[in-house]
Amino acid sequence: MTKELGSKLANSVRQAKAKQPQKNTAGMQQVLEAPLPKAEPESPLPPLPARRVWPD
Amino acid sequence: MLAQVFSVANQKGGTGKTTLSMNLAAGLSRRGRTLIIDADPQGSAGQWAGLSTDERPFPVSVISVASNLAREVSRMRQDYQYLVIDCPPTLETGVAQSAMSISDKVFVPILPSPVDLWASVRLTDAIDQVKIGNSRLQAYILINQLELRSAMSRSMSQALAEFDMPALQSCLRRRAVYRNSALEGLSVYCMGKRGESAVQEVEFLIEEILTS
Repeated sequence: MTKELGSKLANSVRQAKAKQPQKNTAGMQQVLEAPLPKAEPESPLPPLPARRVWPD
Repeated sequence: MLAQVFSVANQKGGTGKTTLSMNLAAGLSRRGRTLIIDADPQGSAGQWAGLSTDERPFPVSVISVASNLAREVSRMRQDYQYLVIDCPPTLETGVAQSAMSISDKVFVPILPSPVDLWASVRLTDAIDQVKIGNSRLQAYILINQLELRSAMSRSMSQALAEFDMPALQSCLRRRAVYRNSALEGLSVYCMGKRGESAVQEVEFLIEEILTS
């Protein structure tokens, strides 16, 4: 049973490796302690349209 | 002599990075001057040591480094024999990569579970990238919270063979004393008879680390 479980686990790791995105060395270099971009100030929400009341 | 720098990293949370860092450092401090560098913004290592008392202090100092990790570590390398860096559970900020880029060895604690194995796959790629700039870096998987009675735990060796990094022979078993020692702000070395088996496995681990 242990052997069967071991095979399943190994197979799942192989699948996880296969799903990995392509390696990108240049991208990794850039991420090394790169400062996080400053958060943009949120723009104010557009005013809600005045509720239109339909005449009876 | 410059300190040996050991990082403990895994992008997944809850794998026992801090537990390993604290007990590893406690064991190393019996061999030479040791410092723990808490590079995790969650500050768990600092919180752990902060629970100790003046009568029974944690045997190793913990400093929190939020930025310029590489510069800070190179400065501290002069004054210590061992530096242990507790990395944050993410690769997104670049801090874990930065820690590995200045380390001699990185230890990746993995729990014996499929989800933990899958999550660690991405880390092996990150380690490979770091090795391009730091060729002396040696990376090892460490099985944490091993349960000998569990079939999953016993099946791990087959799955670990799929990784491009070796697993240490030593492993840490699932023991309540690791959690209890955190609550008291201590290491397993200070837990008396309750900690004996844990101390034995940490000692075995350290011997393997220092000779590998």
